[in-house]
Amino acid sequence: MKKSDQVVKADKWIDLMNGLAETVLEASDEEILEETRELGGDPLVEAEEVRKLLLQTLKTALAKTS
Amino acid sequence: MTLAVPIGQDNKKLNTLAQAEVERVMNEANSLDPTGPQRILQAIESLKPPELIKLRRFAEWRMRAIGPKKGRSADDLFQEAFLRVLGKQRRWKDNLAFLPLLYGAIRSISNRWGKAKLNEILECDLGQADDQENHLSELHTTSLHAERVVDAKQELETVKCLFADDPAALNIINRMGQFPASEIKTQLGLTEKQYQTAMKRIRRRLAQAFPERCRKREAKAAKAVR
Repeated sequence: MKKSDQVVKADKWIDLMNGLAETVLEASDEEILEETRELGGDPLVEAEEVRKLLLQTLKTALAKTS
Repeated sequence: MTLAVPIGQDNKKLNTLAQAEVERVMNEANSLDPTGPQRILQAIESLKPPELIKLRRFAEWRMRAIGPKKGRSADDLFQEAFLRVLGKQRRWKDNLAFLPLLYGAIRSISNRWGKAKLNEILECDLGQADDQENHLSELHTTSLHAERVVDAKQELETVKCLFADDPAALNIINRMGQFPASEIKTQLGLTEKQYQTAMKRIRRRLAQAFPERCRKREAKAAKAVR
């Protein structure tokens, strides 16, 4: 079945955003820190937010398995 | 024709199933390896700030790809991926790095969420409902369809406008997803440095142009930390 124009456009958008996700992994650590500052964020604060979310998830998973 | 399943119900079911699987495997893994939770904790604590930020950025771009997902943010995506990795802790114990597994899980989960979105669009293309129940499902699907199509179309137009003064970046954007980075560099005759500089411009402009999901995420994260 031929893809509709709408699906093609959605596919194109998905390809672009997923491609940008991969470039994050290719970027140097310094670039990522700099980009965070440029967008008005504090890299250390943001990094600790992410760490806390991971720890919360671990805690929840462990509580459910104990 | 296929009946559309409301997103919320579908995801709740999947989450429950994923959680049950994680619990089962974690129980089994912990009985074999009592140091498991400690190793996981050490892995999290050893992550450096750029690694943690990359994790969130990666999830944010993947979420932008699939569009608004009811009640879900980039943080939900990497947390669900982390749960999946926890369930496979025996694999990363065997010298398989933790982060690549996490990125793999993020790709896999967001692909699944994205496929659900595209299926909604395809279902809508199949035709009209012929009874009241199907008609209601169609109305639900049609509104999602219209919302997503308008989103994708407008977003792509916005991207074109944003880079109208930057043909080098636009050339890269037009090739992304169709060719790997190495091929894009060859096609456009770019050095690694030129390519990375252009990618930085692209990420920065697009992140600024589509900030609403970031704000949603930041508000949610701030709430979670509090």
